[in-house]
Amino acid sequence: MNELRTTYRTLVRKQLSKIGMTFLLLLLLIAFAGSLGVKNVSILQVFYIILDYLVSDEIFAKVSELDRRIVLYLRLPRIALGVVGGATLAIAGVVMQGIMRNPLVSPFTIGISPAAGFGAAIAVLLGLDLITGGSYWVVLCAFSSALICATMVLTISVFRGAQSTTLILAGIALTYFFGALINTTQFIATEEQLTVIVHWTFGSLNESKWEEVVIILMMLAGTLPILFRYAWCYNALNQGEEIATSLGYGIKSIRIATIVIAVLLTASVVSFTGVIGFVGLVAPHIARFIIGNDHRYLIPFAGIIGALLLVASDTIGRTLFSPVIIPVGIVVAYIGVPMFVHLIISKKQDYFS
Amino acid sequence: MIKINNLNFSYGKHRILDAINLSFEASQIVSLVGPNGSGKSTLLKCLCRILKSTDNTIFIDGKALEHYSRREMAQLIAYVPQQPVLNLAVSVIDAVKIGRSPYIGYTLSKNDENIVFKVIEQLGLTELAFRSLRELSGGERQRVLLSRAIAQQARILLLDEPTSALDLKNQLEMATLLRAIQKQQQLTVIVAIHDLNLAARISDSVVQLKQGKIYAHGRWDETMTEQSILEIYGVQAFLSEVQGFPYMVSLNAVPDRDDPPSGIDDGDLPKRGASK
Repeated sequence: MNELRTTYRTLVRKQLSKIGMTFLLLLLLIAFAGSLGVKNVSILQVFYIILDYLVSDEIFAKVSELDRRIVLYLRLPRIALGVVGGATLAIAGVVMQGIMRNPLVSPFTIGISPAAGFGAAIAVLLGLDLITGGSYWVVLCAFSSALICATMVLTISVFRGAQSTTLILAGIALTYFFGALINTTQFIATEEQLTVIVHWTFGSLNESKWEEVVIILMMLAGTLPILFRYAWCYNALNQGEEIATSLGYGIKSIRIATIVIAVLLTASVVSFTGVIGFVGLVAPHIARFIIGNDHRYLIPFAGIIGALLLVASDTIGRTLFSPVIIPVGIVVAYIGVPMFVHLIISKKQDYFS
Repeated sequence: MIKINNLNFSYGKHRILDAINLSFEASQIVSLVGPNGSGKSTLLKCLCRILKSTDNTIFIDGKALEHYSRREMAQLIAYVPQQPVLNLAVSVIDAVKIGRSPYIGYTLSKNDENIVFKVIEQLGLTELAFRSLRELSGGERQRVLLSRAIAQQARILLLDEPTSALDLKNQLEMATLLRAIQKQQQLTVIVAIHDLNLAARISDSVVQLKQGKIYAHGRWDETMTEQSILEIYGVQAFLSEVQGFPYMVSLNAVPDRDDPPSGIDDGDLPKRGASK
């Protein structure tokens, strides 16, 4: 028994240290990304600026006002949106996979991206993006359209007990449907509107604002405790629905709640950033591969991986051909797909089922 | 302790359980036997509320099942399904510790951990504790499932065909283990089982089911007769006794080729010695 305990403790410590190390890595990446750009600021200075801002003014008065402004109002909001956006998408993905017990499922397989894209396109078509506070109208339209799509998919699948096959099939159907709707809007849009719509669907962290970060953070703060509470249920589901039920989990209601939360989280990110969906699929898989299937560790860890992935992609995207910024939605696919394919064909592929 | 009062259950129009009236005493092993489709699994699932029966049909300690909260139920009844679709990328210890989840918040307390370690040792899984289920044999996986249920520390244990997928030796080991744990922890065990001889060895009493109805309920020597086996399974059997346990040999499990039962055309079966 003592032997078991020692090994178990070591294992737990190992899991926690993996999470800690990855989190440190993320902090480093944030500082590094903050230092990179057209005007180079040293990593140390980035830390000073952040500390300065957090603690009080000008304790570390070694930084020029210009650098301070660049970092605080241009780079950091962008990085912060990358962090919370990436983390949110990954967490939404991991809980969806957990509750459906299906590696194919993510909020995007149920058609959220084309639906959000369609909402944004409608806003552009109506000229809402040109009036005051226009960007928020686009966000609002994208968000509501994504929710409408998700509601339709959920309603269809609930008729069959919210099984993953029905969910995926309904999702595919609505993906095509909203794809057709986007194409229709593009077909009737003017040249300028078309540019805006297409650029929106690329998915980027351009023009990120602190407000956006705060809104997504609030969504996370409201839902994350619920998801953590369900962590044991997702673990129990590893042994099948009947065992999970016999352990006292109301699977159907937890399943619906999980999907609704995942959809809300994803829609709130995607409405601000455009389509950067791949993080929601690939980050959970990488996380599972590294840390295993205990959702108590997996949920936060997937969040960190998602943040890493998105911030790294965005940093590459904006520095590689600087001053041209490649939208992060494009870069993340270029980086994520090879990683994903590697995971699929590597011998340890059996980390999910 | 468990009382079932006029329990009916149907899938759509198909009636599975028909007016079941039963009561089980505490700290006994009861076998549910009967042909495929006789309602054994359904009865077990109704007992742990995976399937919801009508109100006021099942009582535990005098309280109707639907008045227990989900958590109370999980602390009272543990269930091992026949062949659950397992995620095999889970370690043995992770699979067993899920049994503690009806008692805990987010983390396992030291006490919970100790229970998990103890059960793993007791069921002889120490060597395998940190392996993934993928690396285990069928018998070992079945033991992991049983460990999880025992770690749940419920007074009632429901097992659906715990031995059916196992080889001869593993079947006996599982049966012995079950008996030992039941004795030690004074569990009430209800086990659906196909192997009548094995059932006779492990259980205190038997419930015979036939087409969703109770055929008989009682001790082995009362219920397991050549007559009842013929009526329930339609199989001619010969009963004897080995080491003090009833032992059954089926006689006409394979239809006699020279004298096919009525309803089968002679041409369907090759005649013995016939050549083409």
